[in-house]
Amino acid sequence: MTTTDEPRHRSALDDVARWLDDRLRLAEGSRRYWRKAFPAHWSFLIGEVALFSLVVLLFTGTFLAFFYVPDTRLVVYDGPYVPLQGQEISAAFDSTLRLSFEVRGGLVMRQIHHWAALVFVAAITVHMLRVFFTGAFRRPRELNWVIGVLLLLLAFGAGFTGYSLPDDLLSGTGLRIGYSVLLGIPFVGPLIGFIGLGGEYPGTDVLGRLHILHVMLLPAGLIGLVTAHLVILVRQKHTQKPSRKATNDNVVGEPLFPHQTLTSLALFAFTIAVLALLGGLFEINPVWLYGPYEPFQVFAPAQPDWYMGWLEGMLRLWPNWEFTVLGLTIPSTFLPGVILPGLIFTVVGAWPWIDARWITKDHDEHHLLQRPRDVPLRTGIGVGGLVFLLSIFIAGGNDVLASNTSTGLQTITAILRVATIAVPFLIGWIAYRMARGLKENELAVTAADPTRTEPASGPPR
Amino acid sequence: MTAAAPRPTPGRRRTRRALAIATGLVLAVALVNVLFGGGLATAQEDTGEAADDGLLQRGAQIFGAQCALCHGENGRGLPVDGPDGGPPLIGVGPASVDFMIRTGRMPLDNANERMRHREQQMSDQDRRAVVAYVTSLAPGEGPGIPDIDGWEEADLSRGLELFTTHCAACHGPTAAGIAVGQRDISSNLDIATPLEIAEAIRSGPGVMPAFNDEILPEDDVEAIVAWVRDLRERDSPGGLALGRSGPVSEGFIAWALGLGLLMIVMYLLGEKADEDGDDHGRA
Repeated sequence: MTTTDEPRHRSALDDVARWLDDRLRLAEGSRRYWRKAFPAHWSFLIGEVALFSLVVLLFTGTFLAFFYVPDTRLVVYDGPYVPLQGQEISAAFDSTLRLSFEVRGGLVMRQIHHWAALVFVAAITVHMLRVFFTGAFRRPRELNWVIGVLLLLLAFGAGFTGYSLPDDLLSGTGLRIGYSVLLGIPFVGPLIGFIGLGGEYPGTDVLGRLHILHVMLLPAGLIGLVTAHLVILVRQKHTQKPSRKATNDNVVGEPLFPHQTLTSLALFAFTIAVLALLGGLFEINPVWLYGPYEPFQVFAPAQPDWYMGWLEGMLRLWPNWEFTVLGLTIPSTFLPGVILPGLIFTVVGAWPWIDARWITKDHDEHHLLQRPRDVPLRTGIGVGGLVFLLSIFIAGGNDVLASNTSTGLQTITAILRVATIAVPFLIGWIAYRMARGLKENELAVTAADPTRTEPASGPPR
Repeated sequence: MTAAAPRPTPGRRRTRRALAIATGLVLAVALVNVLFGGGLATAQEDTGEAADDGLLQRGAQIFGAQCALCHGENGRGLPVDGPDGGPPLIGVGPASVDFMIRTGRMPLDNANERMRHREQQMSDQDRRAVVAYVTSLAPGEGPGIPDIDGWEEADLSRGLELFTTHCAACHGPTAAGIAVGQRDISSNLDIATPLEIAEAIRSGPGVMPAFNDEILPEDDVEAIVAWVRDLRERDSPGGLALGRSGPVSEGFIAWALGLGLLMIVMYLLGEKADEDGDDHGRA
């Protein structure tokens, strides 16, 4: 696409490009896209790590799907792993063992897949925290915030279904807990459970259905929503930190080509490298030690993957309260297992509106980011909420904590119960005071020395 | 009262305490004698013919010096509240005594201490003596020291199955040990020897249930021992297994190493706050 008339050697690549351009009109407006501005600050790259982890998940997952058999039918294991030889195990567990011990590269793929899932959700979480504490979710970006929350939910779903597929004792225990929480939903729970499993627990169809969810519906949802997330991002342009150059009316950044392309490719390569490093060097979910799932067996400690830890913790912290309302017994799992998580997700999803209505009372469009100190109340609530989640997350491993600290299990649980209620308010309040202090300090400095005030480019506040 | 016999270097507090315990012991023995008409007091006289007299005597001596303070004269137990009141040992069987001493759980230096795996606190000879002595209090009762010579040839697959059925609920799938209640932590079996594992299965130390040979025949105990040893010996095909406490350690690695490394990469790749004329915003 040279603009000069200089004679130039035409390579085969030029021919292909010309051929395509003749038919698809690729060059039209391409300059605009190649020059699309991307934010340069490093904190904007966290979302990309989540995206790249998802790509790794899709590729490794496809490989695993070539070999995994979602079938609970019993087979006699005759593979190379001696301690299970001769045992009757499900075809699903058998195929997981085959993947781990017989398929070339199978184990490392399995491990990369699992590590990628853990890093995927971790990256989503940090990305969300950045967006939250910098107010990047404010109008006009509410919709993308909601899509992000839905993506997180789908990631949970994908993680849970994936955790259940190998049909080892740990995965069966996780499924059992999920199923029990489901059963505790008044009226519809048992029915949904019956339909979902195709009969009584554990049923024979459950793995096939979880498999379809895990390899088809949930990835499709993830890809669809990620696409929407990115299209909206491109359409709305990115937010930016206020500076001399960046204002509420412009978009400052690095062009897609070559700067951002190189940055992203490098980050993609590093993401693959780190996940491969984890998958290659660190054991994860050694299902061959756990043995096949038998409904009558269970072991402790039985933890979920980290991102489900707060749900597990809520179940562990909640007192054993069972009450009857109008002849309907509400089991003790219903409030902590269904209502509270639902409430938390509703508040998180609706945060842009809560924020505009009650926190900032500001319904204007914003393209400039805030610092945590700029909105002390939001920062306080955010930190408090984070501490709350962290506290119930720790409770999800109360037995591991108890044995590592040689403290009584009930003592730990009692401490965590109090901590979960009291500490978030305390830390949230401290964060609020700190943010306010910083803000007031700054105002005082600005008032004392007006020359330090930012010129007109500052955000309208 | 051998129970009050002072230990080699008694502090004043210890002496006073021992005296108080001795007094309690006398009262307790008196009470037991009243209640049971002295029937228990004759237990020692019925025994002793089977074992070697010298060994028994040595055992009685060590027992008096190191065990009777809590477990009572002739192992009758000390029916007082608190940590000083030890359980009776009559009829517990050789496996239990051998296990407790062999793993250094007993004798405790201080009754308030938590029982835990330590170096053996006496010589092998002394341990055998105490085992013989306690056994002589009720010959033939309680589980004997199991014979598991064949564990190396035992069926691993059966071992895994039995371990998940009977043991993993408390010891964890990788036998790493975990809190099983307010006061108790199941042992990490990494350091347990085959004989110790078998003795624990038979005698059920602490809150652990005892499994007799109707529930677990000798072959099964050997199979479990084989599997527990295999857990420790077998190379982990997946790479480094840090702690093996399942998703807890995995989550930690994912955050610290996985996302941690990537955050460093992001920081190095992206623009930092002070670059490109960015002046920290508005203030």
